[in-house]
Amino acid sequence: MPLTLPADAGDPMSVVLFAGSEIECHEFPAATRQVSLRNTGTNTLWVSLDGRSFFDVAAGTSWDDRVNIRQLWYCTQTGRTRLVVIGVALLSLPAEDD
Amino acid sequence: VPLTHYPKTSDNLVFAWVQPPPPDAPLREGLPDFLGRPFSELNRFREPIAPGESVVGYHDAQPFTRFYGSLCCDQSLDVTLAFSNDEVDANGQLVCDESIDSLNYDALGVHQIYDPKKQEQTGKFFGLIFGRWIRFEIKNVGDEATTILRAYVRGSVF
Repeated sequence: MPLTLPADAGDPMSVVLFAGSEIECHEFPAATRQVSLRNTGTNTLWVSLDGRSFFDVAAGTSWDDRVNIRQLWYCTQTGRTRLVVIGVALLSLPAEDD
Repeated sequence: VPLTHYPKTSDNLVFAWVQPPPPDAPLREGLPDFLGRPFSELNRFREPIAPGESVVGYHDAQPFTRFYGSLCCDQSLDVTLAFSNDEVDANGQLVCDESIDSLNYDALGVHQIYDPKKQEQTGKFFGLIFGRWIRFEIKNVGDEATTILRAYVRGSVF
């Protein structure tokens, strides 16, 4: 059966987010094949790929990996921080509504 | 550690009190939002500091190795930069925004008396990190409420 979508669309899905003490969830427009994340704020960022286990990304540093996810959870222990997230789409992004 | 993961902070403003507060201006069209938010979200100034009164800021100190900044005011100020190494509060709970002010700030990093007549000598400070959390206090030790205040604290990674 032929694929109706390319196996690796590769479109970038970038967003600027702000993290605070409440856990928030970012949903990508499409499943990712890779995610790059940079903490551009002044507080340590805590990130989770499953909403349960969190790992830290120090201020001024980045994290990236080849992960297939649709959602990303994030928060801080104290204060707020700013993060830039770039997901590379595994499949083509859904067509925008006209 | 790969070079690309070495800390490089463009955002290192830890505390700012600016009186009078500048208005939030619209972004210039076609340019990125370099600050990432209106300055009013960073400016902690709410009202003039009356004689004998203080303003205090708390922040995670861990992202930085040193702190530096500048002071300018029309009143004399007593400024302290202190650190806490507590990992939990008095109830054993992990430190959070609600409890960061209750920690023990035992390590005094900088204590400075700002004199508006000695701007050159007292209008700047620099301090090493001595703990996990930072507390910055500005006390008005002058005779009048402040009408001009510029206090900035920045953190340095290196």
